Amino acid sequence: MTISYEQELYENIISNQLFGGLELVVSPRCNLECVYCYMKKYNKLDSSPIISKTTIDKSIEVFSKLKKGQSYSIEAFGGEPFIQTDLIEYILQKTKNNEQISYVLIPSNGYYTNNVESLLTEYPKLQISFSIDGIYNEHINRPKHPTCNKELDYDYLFRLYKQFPKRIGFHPMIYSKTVENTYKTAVWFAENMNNPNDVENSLYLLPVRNPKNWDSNTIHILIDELHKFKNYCEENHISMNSTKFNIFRTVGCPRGTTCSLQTTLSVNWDGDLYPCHRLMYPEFKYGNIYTYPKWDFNVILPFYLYHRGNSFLCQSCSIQNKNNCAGGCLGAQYEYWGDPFIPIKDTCLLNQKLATEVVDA
Amino acid sequence: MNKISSLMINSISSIQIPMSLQCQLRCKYCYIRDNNYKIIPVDYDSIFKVMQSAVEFFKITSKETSAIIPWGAEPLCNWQNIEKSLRYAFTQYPGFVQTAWSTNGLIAPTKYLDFINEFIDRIIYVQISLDGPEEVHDYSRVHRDGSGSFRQVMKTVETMYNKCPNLGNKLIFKATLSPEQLTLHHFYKSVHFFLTEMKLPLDPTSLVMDTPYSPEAIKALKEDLDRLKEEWSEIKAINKDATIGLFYKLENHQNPYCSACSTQVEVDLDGNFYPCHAPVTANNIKKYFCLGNVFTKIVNDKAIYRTLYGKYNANLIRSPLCNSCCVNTINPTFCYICFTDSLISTHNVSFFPLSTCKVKQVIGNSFLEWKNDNIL
Repeated sequence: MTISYEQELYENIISNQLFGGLELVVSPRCNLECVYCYMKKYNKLDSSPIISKTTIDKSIEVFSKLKKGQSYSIEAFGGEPFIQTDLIEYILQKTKNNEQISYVLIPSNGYYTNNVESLLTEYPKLQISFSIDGIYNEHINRPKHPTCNKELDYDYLFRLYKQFPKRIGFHPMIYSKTVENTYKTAVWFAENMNNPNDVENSLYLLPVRNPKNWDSNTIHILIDELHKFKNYCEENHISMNSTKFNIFRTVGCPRGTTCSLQTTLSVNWDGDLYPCHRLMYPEFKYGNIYTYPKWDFNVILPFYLYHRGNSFLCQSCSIQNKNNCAGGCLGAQYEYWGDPFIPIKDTCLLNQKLATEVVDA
Repeated sequence: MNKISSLMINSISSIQIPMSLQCQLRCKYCYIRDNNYKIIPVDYDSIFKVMQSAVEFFKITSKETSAIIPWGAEPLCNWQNIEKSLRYAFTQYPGFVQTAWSTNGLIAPTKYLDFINEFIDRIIYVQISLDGPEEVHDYSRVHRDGSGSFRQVMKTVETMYNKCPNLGNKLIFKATLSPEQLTLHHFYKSVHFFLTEMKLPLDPTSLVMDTPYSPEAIKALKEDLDRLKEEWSEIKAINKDATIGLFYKLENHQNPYCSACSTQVEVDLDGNFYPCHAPVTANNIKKYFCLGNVFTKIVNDKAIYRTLYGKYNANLIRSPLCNSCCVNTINPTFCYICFTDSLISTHNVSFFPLSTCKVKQVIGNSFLEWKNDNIL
């Protein structure tokens, strides 16, 4: 049976070694209402949709087949994934002895940690990235839903970090409304982690790239704050070379997007496929995990073939010429423009300033 | 209005208006997917109101030459009102106002032919949609009852050649083939028809670009080009100027950009303006491309920016695939694909069905073969 050119191209991309991730968006359910969150519109608390075990099985089956024996990782995305501990444990059980799956990453807000220690002990493939913004910003950036009466135990999270080396990371967001706390927040993380050899690998500082977030004033503050933290790192012998510490280094990412969109198959709670968890809009749904190969490859291929520097505007931009541009978030760009591939001016300004005044400085 | 919007609006010298929203045909590949847009009566007052407001808003008559283009469904379904509007524009507006239109060629009433002869200097072109010989044409271009339209069109062509001899090269043809038709070898039949029966110097066959092509369709296109190559000396013996249109475009196409938003906009009967006619009858892309309104004079800066961005950047996005493509080495501008088509077919203004690349590669490779064999 002949297959379409689009399907052939898609399968070639997926079977590439660099295409290494299966993302299962398990549920939008969350106990927080983070100000910059793009998933909260789906959050219906305990009425939220949840992925089924059958869909998890099917996703692993289809993706394993598409990967043609190559190894890959799984990310269980939310909402807060650990609210569905049973499903997380199911994924861990399912993957424990599957040699094709290298690790399972859970981004978590750190509130649901009852079973986390035992899961980390029982399942060596489990890795966790805690999305916490630190004591100065957490209450502003990441307010709790009124129904949530849990408290965040920072000491416990940092204890886990030390107890399970290389398996725990932190992922604070840099948000314009709290940008003046960037330096002290970064120092707070570094001091609590207390391991100068590992900060660059486990602390992922990521600026929010939503529209209307950055302006020249807040960018100026951010640059100052990052310079202060850069000095702190130098004084404390903290290396800044890791790819995760890319806010301080030349981006140089060979992919078209610096996020994982082009190397990850994203499956949501209904088994529906979208370019990424932020682009879950009807026009970008290209299929369902149960209906392969009857997918609309013409919808997804543009996202896989896109390059952030591939426009007239970008080609005349000095930082793009040096491959120093972190690009924008395609979801945020879609929400602003109604088109995922048009850069947002504020983000361009942020990238330009970071590249010329932090990376090159 | 920001600077980009202002520059765009000042550059417009041509306005397209849906002066007829009726059509007798139900062509299979018609880009007006909603047939409700083919049954709407349009009165003179509505046309006049839009025309006046648009002319004023875009100040088109202050330009040395300008154009007011009636657009359909089928202009001849509302010719009386179109003629009245154009006559007004030609005689009442300052400057040199021109026009052009495309027609399905089903009818050519005397008043219509008289108008053409009277205003021949104002007419840029009259384009008749003709897909090829009867078998090919009647495959897609059918009446509501499914019957073909070839014979009526050929009768009109004959009438126009006879009654409007001064039209000359301004009478042009457009043939469009769908992927499905390629599998039926309609490409060969269409090209052969235009070059040997119509004896046109340049065959006008084109392919739809908003639909994926199956491997079978691509294979059939290659077979048709090979067959034409084998028969080329015989074709040349009949028509010494014969040229395959797609090869001509491949070799000579220089400007990858259409007139949308650079010199022309479409204004609908509600006064909304769009980069071209496609969004007017496609509800799923209307909002994206609505750039403003000539009645309220409100301009959507954001929509103008993203439309221009999509138009001028769309065809760069393909570059990861282009390095090894023969078309890219012959003439990359041949690859330009309509950005409204892109949005309709892939939900993405910057993209297109990728199998159209394969189609163009087949054309490019054949072109090189013909060149190497000194046939071209």
